[in-house]
Amino acid sequence: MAEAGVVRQELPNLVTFLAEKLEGTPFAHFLHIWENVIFSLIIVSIISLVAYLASRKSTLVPGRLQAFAELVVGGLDDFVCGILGPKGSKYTPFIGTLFIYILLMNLFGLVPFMKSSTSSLSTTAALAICVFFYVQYTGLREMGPLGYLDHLMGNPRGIIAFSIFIPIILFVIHIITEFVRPLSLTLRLGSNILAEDKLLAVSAGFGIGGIPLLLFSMFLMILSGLIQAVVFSLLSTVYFALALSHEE
Amino acid sequence: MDETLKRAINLIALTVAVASVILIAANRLSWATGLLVSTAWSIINFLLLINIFGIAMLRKSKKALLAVLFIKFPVLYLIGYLILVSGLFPVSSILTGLIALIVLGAVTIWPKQA
Repeated sequence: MAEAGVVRQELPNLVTFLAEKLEGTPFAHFLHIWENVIFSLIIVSIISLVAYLASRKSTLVPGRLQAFAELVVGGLDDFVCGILGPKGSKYTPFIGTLFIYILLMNLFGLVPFMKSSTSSLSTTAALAICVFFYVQYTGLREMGPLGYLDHLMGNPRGIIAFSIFIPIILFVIHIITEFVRPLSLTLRLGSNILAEDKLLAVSAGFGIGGIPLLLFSMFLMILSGLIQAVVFSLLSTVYFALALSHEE
Repeated sequence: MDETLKRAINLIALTVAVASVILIAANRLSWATGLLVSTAWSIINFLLLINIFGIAMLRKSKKALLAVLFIKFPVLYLIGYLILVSGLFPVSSILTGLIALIVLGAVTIWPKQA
């Protein structure tokens, strides 16, 4: 959802154009409020359509689209299993979808009259919260409630287990760390993409003379969009690895 | 770390150091410091990311991973925030320093990849 009261310095998009045309109507208000969700849903539709078309008639000798989809899925599976090990495959759908979804949302802002939904902190917060809950669920399922509590206390053994102070301190630090993670994921992705959008809007504001700057901004946006999608997925995978691994 | 990457980082550090010396000679001390500080910040940030990737891929110690993650966020990001809000350096110098890593890195690595 669009944050109320925030001064916008972004390029106009399809939804803002439509909202301006219908200004004063409840639908314009609806469009303004749900702007980011609308663009997110467009991305969801594109991904769903491509996934459907790629898997509709899967053959042993794949066509272009199926080969491309298999290449992407295979690459993502290698990436996830490289970090989580052979049992990481069951997390590939989640992390892979996150990566593709974030990458497309990041790059969507480069398409004329479209917008990167990831420039809104509410979108990135939603993604980070999903990762947070899935990681907590995985930790609880893998270690059990008591094992997870033990993990949060730093697996105290020997003399440390008898001192109440150290496990409690470690527990507090661990809890803070767990809550800082979604915050860091939210702020990193949201701030980077918001900054890119603003840079693009400022570059476009220079007119014809600003074309070299605009092209440079677009190059930075592509690079940064890809890097941010990789970083979000990498860190999410690392959080899963920390929840899954038992060795210290 | 990859040899090409190491050379690219050395080249970036050298270029920025030379640029800073020229700026100091031109009596632009705050600009030179801003450029140095922000380039150092972005290089450290990049190296930490490479480190996280390396530790995660090789499935090394969990404690090492936690330590690197802690240095990256909140420690490094807090330092970055303090650099920005301190007002000691011109914003343009900080932006140049942050972009220097990407631009010089691309210029150094891409011809080799091609």
